[in-house]
Amino acid sequence: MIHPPLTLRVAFDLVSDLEPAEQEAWLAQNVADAAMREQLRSMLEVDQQPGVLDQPAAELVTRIDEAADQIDGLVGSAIGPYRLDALIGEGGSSVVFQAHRAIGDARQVVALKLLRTGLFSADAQRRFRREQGLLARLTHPNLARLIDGGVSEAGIPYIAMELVDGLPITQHADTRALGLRERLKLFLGVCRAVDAAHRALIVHRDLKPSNVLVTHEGEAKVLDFGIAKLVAGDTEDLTQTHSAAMSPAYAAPEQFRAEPLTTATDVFALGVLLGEMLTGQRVSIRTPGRRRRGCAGQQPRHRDCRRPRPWRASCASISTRSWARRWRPIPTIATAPPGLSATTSSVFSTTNRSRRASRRRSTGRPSSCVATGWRPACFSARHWS
Amino acid sequence: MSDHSTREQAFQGVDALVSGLYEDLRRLARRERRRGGSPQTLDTTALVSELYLRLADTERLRFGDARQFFAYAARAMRHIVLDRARNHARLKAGGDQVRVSFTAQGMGALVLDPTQALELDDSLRALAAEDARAAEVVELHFFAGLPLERVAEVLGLTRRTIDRDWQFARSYLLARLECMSALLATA
Repeated sequence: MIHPPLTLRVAFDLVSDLEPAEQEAWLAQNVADAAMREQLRSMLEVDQQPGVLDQPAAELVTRIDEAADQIDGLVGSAIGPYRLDALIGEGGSSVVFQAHRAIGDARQVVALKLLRTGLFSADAQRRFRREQGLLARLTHPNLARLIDGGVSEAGIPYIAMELVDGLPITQHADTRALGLRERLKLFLGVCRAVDAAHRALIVHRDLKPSNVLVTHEGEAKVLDFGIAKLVAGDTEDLTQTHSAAMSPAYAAPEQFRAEPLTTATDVFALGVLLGEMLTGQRVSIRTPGRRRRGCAGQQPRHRDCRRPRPWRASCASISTRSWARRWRPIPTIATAPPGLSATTSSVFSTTNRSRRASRRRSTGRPSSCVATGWRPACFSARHWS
Repeated sequence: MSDHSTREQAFQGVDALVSGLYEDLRRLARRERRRGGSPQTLDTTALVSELYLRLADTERLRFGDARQFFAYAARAMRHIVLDRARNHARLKAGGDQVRVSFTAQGMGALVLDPTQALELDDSLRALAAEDARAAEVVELHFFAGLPLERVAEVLGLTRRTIDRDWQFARSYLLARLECMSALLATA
């Protein structure tokens, strides 16, 4: 009955003609390739639903434009004591403007983040203020400071932060053609900031290059610490729309599964970030297969098969999928990358073990040191070119 | 005689579509220029304009020309969608963040996320490798905005064939877009 070869098209035409109840049995009987079966199942599912392709592209573009115009229109208006000067960036859950307020004769320039979720209930507003109070107390030279926060008259929550003029850390490292040592030094600064926040029991949840900027003076600044929680805190108040903001390439498995997040979630992202800073490529971490269906036939975006094998092991050791194994104090990740013992000793004590390993590395051999955070550094020294 | 008049009507129909599409493109291209679109997009829209003027010059649209016009127009629209998406992604400071929103059923407000627009372009290339004609139907129907009936006329195929092509292409593309969202689905 089946005419070989059974292409995706032929299979789809045949199976979509059947009654829904018969389709599964048909697939099992006629499609040997499991990946193709999965793809066909997801195609049959969307076949019956309305989709974004049901209107002409011109209409979609017009809508994108309208949304953009709406945001542009906010420039010049006032939010709380601040006046919005220019649009800096736009994310899934927030829009960031450069803004200023007058303090006496002086003019304070800030990055003002407007959250897209409205906080309309008194309870939600209280929670927002409490969280924001906690964040305001968090200060570290490598963290962009939270200056102020509030809720506008229209119920739009806003957060004023230190305005950081710089480039994403990976871009900074590339444009300045930084060597291994400088890259690791930058990364160490990031680790220190993350560690400081974790000691205050604050999780970032969304660490990625665009949230780690490096100033012209070469200072790393982590942006948006704890903001993700602030944003997510109100979702239960929304009845119609549920939004989950995260960055898939850096998100830990528990984020995909909507499980409780811990400091280990940030450790995962740090592993991906380190890998990207050292190899120039994003470490590919397979997203958990809770709903992988329909993904057959699609290549993951950031898969990199050419990455040297030792790297896979070492970055995976930081970004391991099991959060229980991933959990460890940040200092052990950042301890003594090659040639940095002088810097690190001022922050984290350099152990005899790491010094021994340091010497061993100069012979170009892998260290026997088991402190996992060590390995990326060792391998990077051997594979960096 | 009657055959002649239906052809005449068909031409008039195509003519109206061409000018409607041309207006759309001009409007979008104007905005594009204001927003600093890529040279590629502006070149393609210029090409479409030129072609339109040539078509308007001839008394009657010849089918081959109309097909070419729609193909160019579709390509121009594809560039415009991509430019918008890239613009948006750039503004998003790195463009890594993707929002997944689960809009309640029946709200009908389907909006293409800029990230999805980039994904759509990739997927369309993959579809062309799988089934070139189905991909052409997407270009003409979705990007150039031709009703499926007109697509059938322009390609010289039966309506039934085009319907099947579209059903396959639509499912193929939506499944891939859905897949990306599913990777992020939290519930």
